[in-house]
Amino acid sequence: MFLKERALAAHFIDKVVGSELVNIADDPSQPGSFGSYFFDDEGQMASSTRIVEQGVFRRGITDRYSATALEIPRSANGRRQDYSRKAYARMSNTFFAPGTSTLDEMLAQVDHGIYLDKCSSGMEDPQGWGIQVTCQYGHEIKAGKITERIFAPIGITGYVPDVLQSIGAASNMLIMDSGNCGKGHKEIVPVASGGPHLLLTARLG
Amino acid sequence: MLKQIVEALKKRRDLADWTVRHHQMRGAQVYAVPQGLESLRAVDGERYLIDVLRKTTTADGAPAIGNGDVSLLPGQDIEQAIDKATLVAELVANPVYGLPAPAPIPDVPLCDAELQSDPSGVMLGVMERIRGAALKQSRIHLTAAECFGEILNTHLVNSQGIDAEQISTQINIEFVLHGKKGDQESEVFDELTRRRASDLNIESAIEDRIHYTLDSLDAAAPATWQGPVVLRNEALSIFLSGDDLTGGVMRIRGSAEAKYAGLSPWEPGKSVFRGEVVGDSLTVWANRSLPFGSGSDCFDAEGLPAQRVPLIRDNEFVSFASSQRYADYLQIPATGAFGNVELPAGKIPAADLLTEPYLEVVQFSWFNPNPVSGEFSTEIRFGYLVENGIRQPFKGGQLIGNYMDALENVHWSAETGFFGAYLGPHTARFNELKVA
Repeated sequence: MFLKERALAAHFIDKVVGSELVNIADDPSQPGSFGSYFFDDEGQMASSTRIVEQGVFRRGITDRYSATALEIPRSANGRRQDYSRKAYARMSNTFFAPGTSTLDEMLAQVDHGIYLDKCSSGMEDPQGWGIQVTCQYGHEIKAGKITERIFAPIGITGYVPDVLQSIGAASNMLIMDSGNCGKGHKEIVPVASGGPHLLLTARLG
Repeated sequence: MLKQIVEALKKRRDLADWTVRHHQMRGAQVYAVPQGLESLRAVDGERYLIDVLRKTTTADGAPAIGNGDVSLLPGQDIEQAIDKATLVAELVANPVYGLPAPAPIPDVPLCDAELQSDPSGVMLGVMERIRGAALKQSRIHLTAAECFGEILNTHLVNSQGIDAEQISTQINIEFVLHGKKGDQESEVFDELTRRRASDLNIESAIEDRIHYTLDSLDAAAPATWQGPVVLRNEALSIFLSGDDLTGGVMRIRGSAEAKYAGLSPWEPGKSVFRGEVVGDSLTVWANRSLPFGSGSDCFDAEGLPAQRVPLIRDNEFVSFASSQRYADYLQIPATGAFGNVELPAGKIPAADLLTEPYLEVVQFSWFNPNPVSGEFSTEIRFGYLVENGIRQPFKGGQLIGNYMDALENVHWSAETGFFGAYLGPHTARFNELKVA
């Protein structure tokens, strides 16, 4: 995406994009995960790539072509759907690293909010850094407790750095979910993504 | 090798029925980045797909059928492959069904003749047209594009006597346009699939997306809206025919498989709606014989000939699209795969459907309604709120509603269009939908 001038992130290398609790990585060497492999489809040995470290954006993921053109170290993300397709820089297991809080401690900090559950879809916006996540439902949080009131469907929208900067707590558990990632309706590869519970501020809709 | 596989299958006394398909694919792929062409690839592939049925019994001894399948590359061990499929079939005990018998197969047009003769040349030409169309607007540049063209030859033989061949072509293009105004940047991604290059309408498609890219520079999140929502062209096509990932509500509810599984509420002779129809009546065909339709073929994976199946007529459900298996189960005619969605022309000129105010959804992020409940809350990538003579662009927000309820209150345009997997009115005005 950097090479195609499609990523706003290219202008944010080594700049702050989130709170210090924000650590995001892509790691195809994660044992047992759905997006794991020993080496990518261009022969690069699997290893972890730290994308955001303590709120600072460090780098993107690459295939051989983009790493060469951008003159940066290769990450192990050259992946192809099958033998008939070209390798692209694609995610593997991408996750938000856990923090130290418990879910109860996080809920206790919320006077009035929503506990979002069962994400159903999201919209990417690499140029504008808008974020939109739709969930099947969300539980109301009142005075630090989840109530029986449910909102459905519900989602959040915002500007990525604003949302990441607003993160005030991350739980101490990493929950991974597996699936398949495509470019449009093709180039399907197995992936996993996940993270801890996050306490953040964003526009609800 | 096909002949050897058929001979090997004929000798197997442990099989009740079998089908073998020989797929040969060749094509060209062209990739572009802002600096120019990134790569031109020639691709080809060949494989054999074997499906077998074997008589088995249920746990209580009742007759059943088991199915297994295997794929082979040229030169692989045929007997070993059939043994694998047979072993799997032996472990399965489904209600008994069979395979289709020979029937006349229509000659549905499926090929781009130029692509067949020169895949690389045609796809380079398509890429040049995309780049040329994008160059016409100086405030926009093409950041990435991919053009794939494939020719697929299928030869199907089954134990009931079907022996049929078909050739089809398919072209898939995707492109990303980038716009900039001051500090504002925007991009529009789109993809199109057709069987012929001439059906892509590249120049007008790019021109439309250029407008969207420029307009999205001024777009904000939408305000809450409840009222008329207009879908046109590709957005309407996605709404009606679904996509490869979700299949779409029509396709799923109209399938005998879904009926057998208890997932489709539709009953022949009864309304497909739960409420009163206050808009135009709905008539839909599942048309696999549509010339150059993305979902068309001469015969499907079982060998069933292409048909134009009346799915819904004046709001009443008529018949399911059914494979042989589910036709046997439901005691209905086997029509084969669903194919394309076709609607008749409406009665109202498209221009009259654009009475202000209305909200137009130009592009969904991913329209993925629940096929069972019909509920949807789907992200809008880009659209316009049109009122007082102003088209105010917006991006983001969710279109919320119920699929069948929305179709109870819709007006269709008299003008029609062909969009790959959909043929029908090119504009629809849904009178009561919500955006939040």
